[in-house]
Amino acid sequence: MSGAYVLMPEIVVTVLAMLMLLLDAVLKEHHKASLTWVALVGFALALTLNLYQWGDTGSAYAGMVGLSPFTVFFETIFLISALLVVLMAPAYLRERGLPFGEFYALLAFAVLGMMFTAKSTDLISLFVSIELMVITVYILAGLARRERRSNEASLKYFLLGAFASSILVYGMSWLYGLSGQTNLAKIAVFLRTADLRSPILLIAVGLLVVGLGFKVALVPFHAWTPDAYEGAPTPATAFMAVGPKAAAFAALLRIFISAMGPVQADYTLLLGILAAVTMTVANLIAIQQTNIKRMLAYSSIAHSGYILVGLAAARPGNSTEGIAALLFYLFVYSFMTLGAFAIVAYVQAGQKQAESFDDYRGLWYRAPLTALTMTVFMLSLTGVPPLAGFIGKIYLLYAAVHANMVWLAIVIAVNSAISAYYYLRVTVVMYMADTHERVPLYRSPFIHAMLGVACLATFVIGIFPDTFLRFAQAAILSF
Amino acid sequence: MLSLVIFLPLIGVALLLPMNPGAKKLLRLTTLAVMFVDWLITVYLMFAFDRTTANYQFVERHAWISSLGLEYHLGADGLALLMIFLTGLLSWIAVLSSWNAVQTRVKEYMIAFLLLELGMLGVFCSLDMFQFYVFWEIVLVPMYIIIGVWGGPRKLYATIKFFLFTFIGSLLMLVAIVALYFEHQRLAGGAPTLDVTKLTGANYPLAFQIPVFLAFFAAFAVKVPLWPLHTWLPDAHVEAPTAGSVILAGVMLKLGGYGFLRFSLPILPAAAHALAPLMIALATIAILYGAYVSLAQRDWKKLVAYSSVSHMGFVILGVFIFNQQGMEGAILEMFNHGLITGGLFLCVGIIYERVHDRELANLGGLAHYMPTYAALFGIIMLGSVGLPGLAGFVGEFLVMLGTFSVSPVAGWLSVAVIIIAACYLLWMFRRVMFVRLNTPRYEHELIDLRPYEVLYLLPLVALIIWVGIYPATWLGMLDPTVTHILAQTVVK
Repeated sequence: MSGAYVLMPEIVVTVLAMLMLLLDAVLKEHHKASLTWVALVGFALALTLNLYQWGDTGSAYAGMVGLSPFTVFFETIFLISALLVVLMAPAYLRERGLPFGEFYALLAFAVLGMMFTAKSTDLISLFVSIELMVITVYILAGLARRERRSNEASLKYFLLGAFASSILVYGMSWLYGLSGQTNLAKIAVFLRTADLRSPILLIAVGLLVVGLGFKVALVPFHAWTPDAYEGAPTPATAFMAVGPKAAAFAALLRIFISAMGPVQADYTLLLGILAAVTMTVANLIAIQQTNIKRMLAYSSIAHSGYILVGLAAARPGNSTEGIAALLFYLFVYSFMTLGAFAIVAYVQAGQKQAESFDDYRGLWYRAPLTALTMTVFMLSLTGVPPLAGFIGKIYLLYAAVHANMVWLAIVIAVNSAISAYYYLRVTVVMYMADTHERVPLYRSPFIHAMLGVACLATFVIGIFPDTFLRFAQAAILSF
Repeated sequence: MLSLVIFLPLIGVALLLPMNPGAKKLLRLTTLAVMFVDWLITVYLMFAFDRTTANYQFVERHAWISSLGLEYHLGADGLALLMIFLTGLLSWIAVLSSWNAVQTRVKEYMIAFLLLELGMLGVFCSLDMFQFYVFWEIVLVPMYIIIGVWGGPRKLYATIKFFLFTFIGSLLMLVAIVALYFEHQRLAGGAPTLDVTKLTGANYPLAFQIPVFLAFFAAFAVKVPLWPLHTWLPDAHVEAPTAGSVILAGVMLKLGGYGFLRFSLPILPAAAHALAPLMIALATIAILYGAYVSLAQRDWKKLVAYSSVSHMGFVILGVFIFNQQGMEGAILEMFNHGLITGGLFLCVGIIYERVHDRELANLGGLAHYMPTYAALFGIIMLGSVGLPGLAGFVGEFLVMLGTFSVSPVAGWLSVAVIIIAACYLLWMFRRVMFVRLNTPRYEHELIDLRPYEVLYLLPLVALIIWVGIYPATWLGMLDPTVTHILAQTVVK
């Protein structure tokens, strides 16, 4: 396969990003709403090409990037998330006077970085891709540049993110120093024969876990998350909670399975403990939150913990259920989390600062359908059948028990129960608390379409999960 | 056929959705019609049911999540069918009972009840443990909303407590189900499955059975509810609207008993036998505790709620003494409790709807104002006491008969409880029906039963008498099933 074929979707997204910048400069202000359509068409085209590549494998640029079902799966998640974010953004952006063109262009660049992260088969391309992604996301977080909170979010995210990046690249350098290779497959070959008790390997693993732990927001490397999520414009927050997280998990898989597969078994306990601590701490803190964006931020940290269970339960060469569960959960997670944030953006559009639970008081009276949709997302995040989140969670339990980590399965179960408390609180205030206020919610066909798609997906994946499970299972057959 | 029974309520939801929320009568009528038809189908199933075999009947089987070996698998034996029949009956009765009581957000209320019925029927019909779990959890959400939206003053506390108690138990069961899935595959080989008919009979090691049994216990005992996991029940009952209480007591508590009978015993016989003394002890405590606490209640609904704890204790006692009388008695007691306690909650609701008061001290002399009501309520109440000739007696008598041969201590203690039950129920009846009305201003509110209220109490009263006088109709369909479950429960 030629390099052009392997990178087809990336080429489309690159062109889209450039086109956005160009159109943003050329178009008159009142025509800029049409940029949304351009973004939709661009991402949809990339998604189509990406799905067209399903089943193909190939590599390009001297083994720097590779195409496989694994990358197709991740790029599907990225591009669907991008489409959903584009649908939820216009109403929010217009009301706040935020620039359309810049938002979409940055989004496209970030997606590009994510797509390359999934496709990278070399430490260098991996690091460059991650940086492309996170640097654009720092800017996205600070897009509302006249709002102090947005500045704060961007700055905090940037400082801690840059710190984490340097730790990550330091870890990579140790790995390189140990093996003399930057190609992930060649590192794996080296590790198969090397002395595995080398302290250098331990240092490399430690640094890599810390660096990527920052990116996916694992406890105790999560401190930036709530502030960054709270301050960023809500569509950007939604994107941050899904896209970069999924990409960082792709990077984790690349490093821990592709490169360090031979020694991964030694670190499963470490990863398991990290997962257990992450979900427990995040859920306990989430209970205390009264700001819905902060609550969802802690919820997303907790979900990082759940997802990490998949990696902890993976036994390369023996059982791949853990990785399939991880992929499937990310897929499911993107719909329900984006859906929940879209509701936040939707409610905020009427009142600028509608972020506390009080603003959801009696939402059902104002907008019954919105409240109902939010309930679906909250229940799905809790893991109640027949919704997608439940299938995702049971697949993780399945992987954990299969990998003889029953204790981890029990930790997930207990955590789901804890999380039920704060997810239910949202539904409680929406339905059960009365209100006298009747703030009208505004109408935007885009966000309605987005909520419809996310809600439908949550149901369909929950009731007929077979196709999607097979998709995830097929995706891990070759990295 | 069973698919139709389960998913007919969903058709009802589809009919309701486009309707105008203001057309309350139409909404109620549609729901009632759908539920009534659903019940008629279950009645048909009772006739079509072959009473001579313990095999699952009306079986339906389709591939569902084939990548994990999970199926859509329905079937009913005597136990399941009896519960399906009860669910169908109480569902339409619950809707009819809220004809006037619920005036706000009728559409959502009706949809919640339809989804609740769907979930409960699904639980009783499921023969795949994963599918069972899905329905088991589906039940939780509508009930959570019913209590939380249409409940009393402390509804939020009650509904969150209810949800969390049951959810924690369920999640532990989920882990156990997954463990069972792998253990069965390891022992039996072949494709992994969660088919109940295949999970039984594998000789799981005792060290595996005990934790799995305890995880199942966490889910089922909370639902029953067994002492000391019962604390959510009084809160939920007191705050729930009448129809919610009827379904909660009438059907949802049965889910726990059903779970023990369908899953814990046949799949984990060794653990069931090993832990039987503990279960018998807890059941006896529940019987005694529920009755004693009932004696002290001032709130009418709370009294009935605590009496539920006591009666459901009999069910668990009957299940874990492992003999034919005990188990048949337990299943019949589940059915009876649905009729009787459902009826009692309806009766409390009828008065509450009129005077908005449940304090026993404020009431009195109702028999004078509402003679028909007093007569019907009297029969139901005596059924609860365990008067021979009425339903409650048969179930409890069979359980006690079975218990004496196994554990005379538990037997004597539970007999004594019959006396306490008579005390609190007759005292309650006297307090409410006779003496003098303590709040004279209620006098004008206390009009006798309206026709529709008679309509929904009568079938319950008729069934209570039927079961009491001629239990053979019901026991007959249970015989082969109970024999089969007991045969599966024998430790090899």
